[in-house]
Formats: sequence, C-alpha cells, structure tokens
Amino acid sequence: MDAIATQELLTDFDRDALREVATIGAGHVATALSQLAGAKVLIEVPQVSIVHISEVSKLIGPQEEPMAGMYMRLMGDGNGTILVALRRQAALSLVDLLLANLGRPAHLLSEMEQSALREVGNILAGAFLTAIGNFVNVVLLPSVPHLAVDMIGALVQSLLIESGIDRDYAFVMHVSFLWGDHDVGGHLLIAPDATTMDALLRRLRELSQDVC
Amino acid sequence: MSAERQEQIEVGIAQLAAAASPTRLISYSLGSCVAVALYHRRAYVGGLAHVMLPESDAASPDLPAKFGNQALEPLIASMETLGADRRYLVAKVAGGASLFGTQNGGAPTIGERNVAAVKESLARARIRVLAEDTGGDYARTVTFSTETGTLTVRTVKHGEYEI
Repeated sequence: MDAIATQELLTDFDRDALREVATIGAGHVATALSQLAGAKVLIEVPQVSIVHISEVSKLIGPQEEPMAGMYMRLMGDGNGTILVALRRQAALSLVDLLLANLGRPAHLLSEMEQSALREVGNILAGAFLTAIGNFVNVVLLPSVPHLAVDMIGALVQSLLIESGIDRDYAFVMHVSFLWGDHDVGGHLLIAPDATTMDALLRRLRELSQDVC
Repeated sequence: MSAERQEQIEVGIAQLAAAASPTRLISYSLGSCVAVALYHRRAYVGGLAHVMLPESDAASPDLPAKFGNQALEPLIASMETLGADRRYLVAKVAGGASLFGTQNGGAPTIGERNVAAVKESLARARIRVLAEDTGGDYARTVTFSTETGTLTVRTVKHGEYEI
C-alpha cells in the first residue's frame, strides 16, 4: 500500500521546477549569510526529494554530530517546518563574528549568543521563504525561531515529528552552504506539508504554462 | 541471515530488534522518540524498540515500533523466539525529550505522550519498569547490553551515564 500521504510521486518536471525554486531561495540565503559571515558563501545543488522517515536522521551526515539547529514553523500561505542547522564550529565562529567576541572561543552559549543564533536562523529562513514566495507569488514567513544545540539526527527528526505530522514519508528541500574554512558549514531544510506542496506544485505548473 | 552473533544491532526509528548476549542494541540520537529496552536476565535475551509516535489504531507493517501502543507485542514476540519468557521481562525506558521547547502552550509534547503511551503499554503487559531517563531538552543515544541489562545513555550536554 502506498505510504505516501501526498499526491502522486514527483515527476521529473516537478523535481526540476522545485530544484529551480530552491536554488533561487538558496541564492538569497547565500547573500544574507555572506553579509553575516563577511565571507563568500557557496551553495551546493539543492536536493529535493521525498524521504522515508527511516532516512531522515542521516540526511545531514553522522547522526550524533552536534549542530546548532534553529527550528521555525512555516507561516502565511503555507504550513510546514524549517530547520537551519549550522555545524557547531561554524555556529560558534559566526556568533563570535556577530558579537565581536575576539580571541575567546565560545563553548557554552550565553543568552546573547543564543539570541544571535536564533536571529541568524530567522534571517536565513526569511531570505529563503521570501525568495520562493516572490517567485510563486505567495506570502511565506518563518515563525519565531527556537534553538537547540544537539545531535543533528534528533534535530532533523524534530523537523518532521514534532510538527505533529504523521507521515511515513516527507517532502524535504535541502540546501547546503560552504564558507570560510568550513566544508559545508550550514544546512537549510524545509518540510512543507502536503497541502502546501500541492499548492506550490500547482503554481509552478501554471507558471511554466504562462511562459509557454 | 548470518548465524554469527553480531557485535551490535542498530535499531532505527520505528524499528525493533531482539538479541541474545553479548550483542548490543543501539538507537541513535533520540529526540522526542522513546527507546524501550526489555530484558530477560536469566535467558540473557534483550530487545529494543524505537518508538516514534504515541498511538494509532492503524498498523504500519514495515515500521513495527512506530507507535507506542503497538510496539511492545512484536518486540516481546521477537524475544520469545530467542528463548525469552514474557513473565520474567523487565523494562528500561529512555528518551521522550522536547528539543525545541514546548510548542503548544502547556499541552503535552510528543515526547511526553510517547513516554506515557509506552508506560501504559508496559503496565498492561505487567512488565516492571526498573529505570527511566526521560524528558528534558536533550537528545540521547542509548545502548542496551544483553549481557548485563545495562542501558547506557550518551548525550552532547550531559556526558555519558548508565541506568
């Protein structure tokens, strides 16, 4: 029995269209991040896929790696969840830069540092959603961010499970960022719910027909 | 399947596994998920279920431990095929955290509901809970030893400890 709660599987067209939309969003995130980090930011090709729940924990490398995760809900013309995850070292150096903590490596995050990270999550998710929203002509916004610095496997599970959605499969858009000395220092994952997915795909199909 | 004893079996999300000593059972990075370890000490047989959600009436055949109210029976059955006797089982429970804080203004979190569903299942099966490490706001990796019945919990913020 098909366990996918959304509609039919993604067609090649759908996948390409979503990847294009994700790339546009990612470009805006890279710009925002490069302004924060004071460094050039590169994006990897966005992955858009329907992921089985069993694969979720391992989406971003080894499950136990500690990362700073900023979790937001999707608001406006859509529902779902977003996670901005930064590798611990990348998060710490970003925070040090933002708060001008020179020469003191942060180990435990102070209130202000936590606040700075939440803000980073908000800025990056906002850049992504605004770009996508403008492209398909809807309003998408992130909610107030929550922060947890913990095993990435658990953070990604929260993206799908704690949002209260019961699905064995989830649609995930995944963008990775590299900057400075870091190999892939950051990730943005977005898991829109089925209704939002349907609406998004419908809009993309309409747009392609307008052009043709 | 190989007849050799594996050193370690990873129990992924919504999965369960039974093993005989000295094989270890491990579930990684539990957030709101709950790990239930069952043990028959004399038989040296253990089992671990990685529960994802509290309850459902519908079954998920390839995800046997998905729901807290359904995971126990198949876990016990697996252990019985290895020689365990359900009358002598004891349990240890870990997980059920809420990493990002309460989202729903006072209503129980998924983690809390998972813990409640699992404990209710255990009570119905008359299985005593020897130890519990649940709740909080941090992720846990749990390793269950079928040799000693010890549950080792590994965390990012609170080190590693046994229950």
